[in-house]
Amino acid sequence: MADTCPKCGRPAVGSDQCPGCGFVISLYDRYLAERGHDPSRKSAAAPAVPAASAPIVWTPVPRREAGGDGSPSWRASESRLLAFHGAGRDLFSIWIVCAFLTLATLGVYYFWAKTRVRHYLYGQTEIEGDRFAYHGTGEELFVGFAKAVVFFIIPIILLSNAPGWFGWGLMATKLGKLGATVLTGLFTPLAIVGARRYRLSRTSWRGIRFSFRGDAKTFVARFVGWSILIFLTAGFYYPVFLVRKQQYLTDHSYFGNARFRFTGEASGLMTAYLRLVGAFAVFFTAFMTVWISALFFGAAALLLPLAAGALVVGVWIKFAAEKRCYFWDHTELEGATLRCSVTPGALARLYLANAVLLLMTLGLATPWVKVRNARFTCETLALDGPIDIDAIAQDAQAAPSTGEGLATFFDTDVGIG
Amino acid sequence: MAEPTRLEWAGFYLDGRSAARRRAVVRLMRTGLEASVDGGDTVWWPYAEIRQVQGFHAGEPVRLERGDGIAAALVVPDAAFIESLRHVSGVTAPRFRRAGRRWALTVFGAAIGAVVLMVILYRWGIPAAARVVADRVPVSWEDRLGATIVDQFAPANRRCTAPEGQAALDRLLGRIAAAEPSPYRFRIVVLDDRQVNAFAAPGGHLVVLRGLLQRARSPEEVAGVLAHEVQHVLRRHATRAIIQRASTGVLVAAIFGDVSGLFAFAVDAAATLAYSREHEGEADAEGLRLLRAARLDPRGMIAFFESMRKEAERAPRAFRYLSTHPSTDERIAGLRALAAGSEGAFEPALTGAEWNAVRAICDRHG
Repeated sequence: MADTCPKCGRPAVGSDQCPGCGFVISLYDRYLAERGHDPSRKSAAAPAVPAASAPIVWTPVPRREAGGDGSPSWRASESRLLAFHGAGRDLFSIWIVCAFLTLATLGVYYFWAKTRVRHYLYGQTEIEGDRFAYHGTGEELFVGFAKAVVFFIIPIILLSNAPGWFGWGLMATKLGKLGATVLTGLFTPLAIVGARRYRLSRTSWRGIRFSFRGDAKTFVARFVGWSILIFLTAGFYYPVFLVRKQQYLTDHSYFGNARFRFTGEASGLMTAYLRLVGAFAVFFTAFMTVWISALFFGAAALLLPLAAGALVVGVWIKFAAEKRCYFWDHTELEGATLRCSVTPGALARLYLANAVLLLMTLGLATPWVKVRNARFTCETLALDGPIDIDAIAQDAQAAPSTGEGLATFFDTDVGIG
Repeated sequence: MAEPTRLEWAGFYLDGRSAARRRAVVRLMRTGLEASVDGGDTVWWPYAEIRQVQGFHAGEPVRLERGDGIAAALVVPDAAFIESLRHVSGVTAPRFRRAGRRWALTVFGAAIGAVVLMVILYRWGIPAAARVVADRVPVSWEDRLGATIVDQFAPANRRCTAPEGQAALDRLLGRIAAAEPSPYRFRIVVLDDRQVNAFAAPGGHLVVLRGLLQRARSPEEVAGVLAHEVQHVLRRHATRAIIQRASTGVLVAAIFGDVSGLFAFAVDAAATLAYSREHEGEADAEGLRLLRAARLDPRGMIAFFESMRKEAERAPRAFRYLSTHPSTDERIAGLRALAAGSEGAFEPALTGAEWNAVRAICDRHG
């Protein structure tokens, strides 16, 4: 048996399986043999040593008895865990300086601040021994925001008000209002697609960029259709809409040349959603009947809407957890699947602790909350199944930052954190 | 230097073409570094072309990149590498930076600075900016905004619309508004609600609650409240408050992020109180001036505030503190001083019949 683990480099491995990382060495050797490699682990030649002056010492890097690199691309059955290494106090030192500069520049620094925080958060996220990297810049975000203002915000204001200012008459006013409504309607889907395109294109792992290659026109058209269906079904189409939206976003996302696949069913969230609607119905019923029951039970009847309110919060958190896991568990990359282990209880504890932290510190704990959220996400997410990572090749796509600029106007991604 | 400079380091090479991570031995030379990559390649990176993109924080591997756009990268997990790199290359911050926490002094200074700036912006900056902006908002915008607010707050089915009462109120309001020329067209709506309150939406839309009309003991008291609210409109207090609150919300959201809904709400509530108190005084004084210009007895206004004060004293302390209309002794004393020496030359606000119609505006007829 080999004496050094080819994956983690642990010496004196007595058995076939490395006690350090669980790596099965015979499988690895067989894989190498199948590919025509020599499974006997050979040592690289020692490099030439340059002359060094007095304070410089020469410590050669220990050569590992490994056949390939440190992380072989193939394993029979495996689970890759995400890890988040960030610390609240590190992020605080970035965040507070950013907050100061944002205030001092009356908000102009906001875009650079946001970029700095993202650099930190991405750089602290690791899978398979490698950190993610963020490549966006403050200038890009600023330009994206400026474009969103010029092409959307100003036209919307002008369309809805200019006819009134200049007295162009009723027809112009109506047309202007219609135009403003159409632009406002396009705003949300364009921001969703644009922000995703920008952010994925500026994210890399092992030097390979992510990308989004969906078509904005197609997504906007579908989004409008879904909105109409939600309206016509009095909201009951909403869970289907969530799944369909996720499907479009996932199916057009890539890591290098490897494509993500969404395998969920359109009706996947229906049960969870109906439970949520039911809880709301109970809440309103309780609220309506409380005055009547007060006649019989006195003040104790107030407990009824309170209990119903707690039920709604509980069911809502359960829905949030189920939605998260439904999306992740049905996301595939080259035969590997994301695995989600979020439980409603854990999510509830996270939310509660975050709320308490923020309230007790008047918001100064924001960086700690960000770190807690990132850590929670990483700890509850893994990539399961065999995947030949080494076979994935670079296939980066250009992406403008206008969509990201649009997204700045939504509360979904506001804030330098 | 505590640690001697090492010239050879273990790392990984990412070629920017595939997701394979190849082990590399990085050697620091005089003008650049050489990386022997597993698989036989050797790359030469001159220091002048290298940029550090990660490794600024404790525990973060040092990541160097070379090339434009999609760059090749070298990752060295041992943070001590950067120290040797700095020493051998002679390149230091900002291009090659040690990991480590920011200086406590910088962080502390930034924290103090941020708090000071926030207070300055909140207390003076945003109000001043809001004033400048509000003064430039066209009256037609204010009018439309006010109409929207009133429609929300006082929907048509909750309004009291007895024609005689409405006519009397319209006439009284018209008389007060005429005392100062303005581009506003004032309108008044009575909301069927037992609370004693009134408010002014931008653009000249006044809302009076039924409770206030029932509490008032004379039409002069109602006139006093109307003059006060008219001044809120003329001084654009509501428009300013809306701009202030929106700007504060944006600022808070920018800094605290999307987790801050709760804080935006808290700041919002605090803002409503702070701005109002300042503006109330102005509306009082100017409203009183308006009453005298319209030949209405300003003592009605004072009498109404006094009755409100007595009411407030009966309320629990917590409610008193939260009131947006602080009927303090000071406020009443100030008004008394302003009203002094103006007895005599007044005309009644409403006739007896009109006053009765106003008080009965919410009674259902037939």
